[in-house]
Amino acid sequence: MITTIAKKEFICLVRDGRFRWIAAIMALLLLTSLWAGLNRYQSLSDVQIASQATTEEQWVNQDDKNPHTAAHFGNYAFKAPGPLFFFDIGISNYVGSTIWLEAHKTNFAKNRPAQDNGGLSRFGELTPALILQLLVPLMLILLGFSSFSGERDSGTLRQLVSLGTGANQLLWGKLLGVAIAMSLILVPYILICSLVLSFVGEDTTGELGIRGWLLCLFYGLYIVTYLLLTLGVSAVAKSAKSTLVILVGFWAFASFIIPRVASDVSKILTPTLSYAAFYKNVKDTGWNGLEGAEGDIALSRNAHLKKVRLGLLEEYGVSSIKDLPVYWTGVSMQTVEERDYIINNKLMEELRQSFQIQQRQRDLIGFLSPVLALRSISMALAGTSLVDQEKFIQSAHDYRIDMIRDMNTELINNATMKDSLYVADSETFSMVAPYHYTAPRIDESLGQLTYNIVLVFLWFVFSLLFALRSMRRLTVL
Amino acid sequence: MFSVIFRHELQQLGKSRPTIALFFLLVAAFVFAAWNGERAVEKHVRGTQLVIDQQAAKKQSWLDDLILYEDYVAEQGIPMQIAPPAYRPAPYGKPALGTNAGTVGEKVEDVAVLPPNGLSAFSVGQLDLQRGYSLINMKSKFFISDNYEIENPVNLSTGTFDISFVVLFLLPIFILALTYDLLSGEREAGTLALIQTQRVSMRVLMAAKICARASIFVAVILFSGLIAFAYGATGTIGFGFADSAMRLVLWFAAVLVYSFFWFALGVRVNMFRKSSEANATILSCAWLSLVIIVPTLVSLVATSLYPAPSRMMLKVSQRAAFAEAEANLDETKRKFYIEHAEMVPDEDLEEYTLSFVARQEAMDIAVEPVYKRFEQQKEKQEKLVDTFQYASPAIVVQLALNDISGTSSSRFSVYLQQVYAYHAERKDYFLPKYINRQIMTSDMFSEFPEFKYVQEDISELIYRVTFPLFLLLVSTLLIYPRRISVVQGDASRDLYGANDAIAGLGKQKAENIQEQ
Repeated sequence: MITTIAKKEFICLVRDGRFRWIAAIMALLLLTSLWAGLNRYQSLSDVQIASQATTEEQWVNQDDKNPHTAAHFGNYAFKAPGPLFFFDIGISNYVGSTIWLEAHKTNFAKNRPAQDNGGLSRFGELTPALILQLLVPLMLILLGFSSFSGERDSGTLRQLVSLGTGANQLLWGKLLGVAIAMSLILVPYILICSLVLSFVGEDTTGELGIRGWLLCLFYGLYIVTYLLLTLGVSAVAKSAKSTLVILVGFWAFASFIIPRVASDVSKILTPTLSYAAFYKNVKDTGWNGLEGAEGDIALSRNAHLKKVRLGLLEEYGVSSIKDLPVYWTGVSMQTVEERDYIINNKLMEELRQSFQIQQRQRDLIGFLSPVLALRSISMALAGTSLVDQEKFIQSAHDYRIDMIRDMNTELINNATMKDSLYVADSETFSMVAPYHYTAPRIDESLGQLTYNIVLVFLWFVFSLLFALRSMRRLTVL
Repeated sequence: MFSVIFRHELQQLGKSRPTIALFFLLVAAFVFAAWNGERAVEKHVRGTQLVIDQQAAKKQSWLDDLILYEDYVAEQGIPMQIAPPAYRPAPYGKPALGTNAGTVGEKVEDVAVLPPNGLSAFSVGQLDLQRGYSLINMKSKFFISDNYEIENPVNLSTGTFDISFVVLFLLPIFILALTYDLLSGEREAGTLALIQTQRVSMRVLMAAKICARASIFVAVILFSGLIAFAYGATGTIGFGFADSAMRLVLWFAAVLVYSFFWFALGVRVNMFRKSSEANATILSCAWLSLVIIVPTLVSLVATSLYPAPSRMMLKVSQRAAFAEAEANLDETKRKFYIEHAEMVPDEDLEEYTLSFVARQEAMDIAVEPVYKRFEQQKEKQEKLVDTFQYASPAIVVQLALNDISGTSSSRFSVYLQQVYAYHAERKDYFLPKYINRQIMTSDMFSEFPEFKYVQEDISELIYRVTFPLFLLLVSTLLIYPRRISVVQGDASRDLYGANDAIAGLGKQKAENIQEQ
């Protein structure tokens, strides 16, 4: 019986002009976004590889100079996009993929594409993920809203029920019918995507396939959730018209209003420090020392330097820094670098914590909308989430301190206060290995998303129960 | 007749619970949005003030040291000397750092502020991405081009719930919710036939229905706009009340034209004589297309045709230019290519100074063409967007709203150009004194050049915004059907018997109605 209903539903849909139009537009958009995403990925990837190679070459082949000055010339860390970038660009437009690694300063990842793309980028980027998250639900609503209410309006529901068809059979049949119609578009699309991925992505960890399948799973759950909600509302609403109004209203509410409200509420509850306030904090802590920390880092900068100076004088048995066999200016700079590195890490960690608190607050409100949880999971799996960005930033900062340490140590050992003009060459500069970014493993990516994963399943279960309950209350007149 | 229907419609709307709930939601959205926008502006202003205070305190402490040194010199009757370039304040009796023009120019940085205008809280625009200030020193101007502001990138990508969002995304939904079944609803309820028996032209009927709905929306928009203006503009009227008020008027114009567009679209779709469900389907697809799909497509076309040149490449080219400038320095200058004056032996400080100056100059000259190319590419992209904006009213209005609120990226570009000019002016003040070893005195501290953002004349904004809005208005008028006809002898579609009702009136009357 179910297959008969599914078959009827499927044939009705496919013969309906509505479906053909929607399917054609959807297919076109999906393909366009795929093409655009691939383009974006390719060019970004090419530019990143070329830039990283050039900057590395510039570093090694820079003019012979004082090693600390070389550290001022610095280097750049560029973030490589992962292969699933084409599917979901996540927060990529709003984070920088360039970090300047220079002496004395720990920089943020700057040059966010949104700054260069003007106001238009605020409408969002046409990616496969955007289409699946926003457009497909609306398409399901438009295809399925009249499933029950339409039949009721036209009087055919009474005939159907009089044939002895059970309500649940009807539900599964109709679900299957719409699902098969949908899969006419989505299954080929998934095949194309996986084909593309096998050409584009270098799967070094063997994780790419798992990520792809997980994406299919979560998007599948999301789509079925919307389908069940649509059928459920269609069964209980007074008419096809009110079904449509309720569902479109819910879709707009869940897709556009809730995400923004959630994000603004999280900003109200946990305000983000301004750049000025953050740097004032970095500077003040640098000067005054880290409160509550153990060791020299709790001292003020001057006290710390004094302690190091006295220690050195004692070690070498001399009375003035001028008589030291090592270069005191270099030592003092490196001392400050090391303490600033720890302080910066600590304050960055606090900032990261505040972002995580915001994430939890958003998640709590995200309970009201199935799309929010899915969005987080999708970004994480595509490698375009905050986790990836933070790993990039941390790896660049770790790379920076090693680079600076190498250069300053070279200076410390080769200059003295009496003879400070030391010039190093490319042999010294090539001590610093090229920067390389490793993307998070899948468990790191999904590590903080347990709640979101549960939420996607919960929405699915809720929609299922709702649909079943609606079927029990199905009225034929 | 118009006023009768108008009043009747208003009464009906007032008694419909869903409608009241809808308007309540809209007002609530406006209030929440106004509050959010104001918070964003406040954060912006607070961050700027913090830096202004810090720099003012720094300048004051350098000045205090200088005065102390001047007093000491006067007391001892010895000539003033210039301090070597250094980071740390000199001990009492030694020349204060403030005597050295180069060091002052580099270390006592000036804050070049881009103040928000009276309407900035209406549209957050680029405010959450970019700071409203730059620190100006003696280094190459290319170090000031990035005004990074911290914000959770997930929140940035979601966007702020500001007034622009309510206007662009939500307002159309609310309008469509009240217009999608304007006629189809009457037809389905069977009341359309009744109305047609009255001596009223369909045009008047439609006009009255639309006006009743529009008047409530206009009231809500005016009310919300004024409240948000009063709440938001108080602290930040940096450019005078007249400027802010003019912007508010433009804002009203943009929002009203945009609203009318959606009303016209709703009416037009009702003319298709389809069922309410079909209307709702068409209109929700129209909303999705015009507000989401077309803007993202336009953005896609713009970035594909004129890809914003990669900042990564810009950085790499800058470095190449730096390296080249450095390689061209002569031997003596290269010897002192050290960023720290304290690493240079005292007797060589003069050479170091010249080397520093030469290097900064060389960098500026070398990087200029790289940067120019970058800017040109960006301009081409913006031009393309300007042309393609007419593909969707949402783009037209978004660009207009950001422009009116002074949070558009082009205003940031204009500001940056002014900052660059100021950077050169400031350098012209300090550099000759530095090179000529002119000793700075405390009275010079009050005559440093200062940055003041020069806002364009409001007429230029009006000129820019009016044309796109005018075009939108014209297309609104074109979309609004000239002939409101509900029946054209297509009895097969007329399930609800409107035709039969008319037939019963007699041929003469039916013709009258159709003519009207």
